[in-house]
Amino acid sequence: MAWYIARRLLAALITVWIVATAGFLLVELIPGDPARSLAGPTATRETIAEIRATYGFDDPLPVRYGQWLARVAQGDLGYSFAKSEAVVSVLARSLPPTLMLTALAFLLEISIAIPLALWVVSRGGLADRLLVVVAGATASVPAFLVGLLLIYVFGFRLGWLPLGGAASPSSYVLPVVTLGVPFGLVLARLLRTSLLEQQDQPYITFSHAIGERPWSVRWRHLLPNALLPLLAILALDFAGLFSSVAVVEVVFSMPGLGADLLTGLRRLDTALIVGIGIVAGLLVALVNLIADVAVIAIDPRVRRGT
Amino acid sequence: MIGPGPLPTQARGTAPWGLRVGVTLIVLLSVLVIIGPLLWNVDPTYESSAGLSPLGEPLDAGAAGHPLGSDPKGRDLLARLFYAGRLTLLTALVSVAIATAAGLLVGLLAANTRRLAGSVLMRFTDLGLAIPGLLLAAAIATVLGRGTLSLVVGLAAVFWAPIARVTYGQAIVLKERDYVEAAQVMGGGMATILGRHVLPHLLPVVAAYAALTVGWAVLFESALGFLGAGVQEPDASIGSMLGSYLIYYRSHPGLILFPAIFLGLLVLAANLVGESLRTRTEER
Repeated sequence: MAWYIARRLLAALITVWIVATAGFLLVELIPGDPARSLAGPTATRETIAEIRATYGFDDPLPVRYGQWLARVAQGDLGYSFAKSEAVVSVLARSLPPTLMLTALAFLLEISIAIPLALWVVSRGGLADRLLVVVAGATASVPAFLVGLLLIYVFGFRLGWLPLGGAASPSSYVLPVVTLGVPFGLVLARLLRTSLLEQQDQPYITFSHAIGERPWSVRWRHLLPNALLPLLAILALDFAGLFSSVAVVEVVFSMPGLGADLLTGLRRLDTALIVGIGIVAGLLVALVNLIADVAVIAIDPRVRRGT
Repeated sequence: MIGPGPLPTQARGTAPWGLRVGVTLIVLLSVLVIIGPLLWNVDPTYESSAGLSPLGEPLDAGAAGHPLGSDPKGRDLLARLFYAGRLTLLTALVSVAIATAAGLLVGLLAANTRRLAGSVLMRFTDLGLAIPGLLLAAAIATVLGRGTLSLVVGLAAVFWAPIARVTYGQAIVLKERDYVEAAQVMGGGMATILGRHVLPHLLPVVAAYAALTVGWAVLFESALGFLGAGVQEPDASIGSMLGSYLIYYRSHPGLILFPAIFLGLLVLAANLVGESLRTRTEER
């Protein structure tokens, strides 16, 4: 088992390495002179030459790549000219609110998906078909439009909730609903399929046959087995949720990585964009790792290595 | 649970309703953006104060000469919507076509090369799956210089990985089939076997995923346009329209509503086609 975790950890590290390399290549691809853009339009030739020397822009590509990797490994992601501060300090400020929103949305997603899927499967018929249709429909609408509609109705028309910002806990309600409900419905649909597959397995028939109560069969046997194949999907889904969080933050004018991304994209601040990419890659790798460990925790077959 | 299962609701040979509705919708929307500009011959980039109210506000739907109203620069919204719909559809289709070709190639190569090369290719694909796609597309589309072409490159760079995964998964199963082994025994070359025996079985599955990917590409385009990456003024895509009209959602909801309806229908159509194709291929 330790070997298994070590291998997964290595895979996570490689992911981050590739993301950092992709970031480096992207920066290298930018047409134009980075020294000139750093120095500003009024800089003299000497200043530009000095900047080239200090930042090592004149070094050959492999040397620059090595230095870049060394800096990233030490947590130095460069300087954001749009924010006039180090990228790391921008991210340190923006990551907590984004993580908070993601965590709340994820919680809502799970607490919608599990009961809904169980209910729909045990009931079948119309509810079952309705879930498939509604989940399909919500997957067709981008999150920022859902958010906009909610702001328009509940914030602007009815005035029940704030239009945006992150000043009070109530301003988290609409963003969390915007993210959690569609993701919850889509997950419920996946879980439904998985539950239906497990339902006909012999161990379920056996549990029923020995007189175990239906709710106990459902929660103790059916659900864990149905969730198992979904864990890997859930981890991949986190990347999707993370992307949506960034956009929803912008819609609700909340502080966070989404706002930084917007600034970076609007002002062409590559250091900031690449920095956000590296942090996102790190997070996704971490979540994948957690999912892998969760599989071990749930599935004794993996634990015993069979 | 005992006894015969429920009768199949679907007669064999007829297309499921999802496929029919989806294809009809896509054809309708495509015809709309192709024929629309010919019938409604208004320049989508023509800015004029005649297109604004006396106070300088955009016109609402139903105004004289502007069936859907006008945008904050006095441009006709209907003409812009046709134009944007065309660009969005084209961007999504071209980027998915590139991604599908690349994904097929990588997947087939990985399934048919010796172990190490194949597993390196698939590791690489897994990494492509692990990076948040929107960020990757945004970074590429920005760094290559904002514009429609870099948007296509950015989207293709995101979507090849899932297609490669599906292709690989199918190809290694197909490779073990008896008829493929028979073809090998009869001395068929790799190209013949792949082209004549593996690919025909692979394409329906990949087509289903490609259709789903078109839906994703439209969603990504809209999110990127919303964030200001991708298509730039005076060009318009559905996403860039939504992004630039966002601040008017309270005073002029129509500016958001009409592009949003088009977007929703397009993604819905792609999802319906993709889902029903996938169910069909999985049933077999």
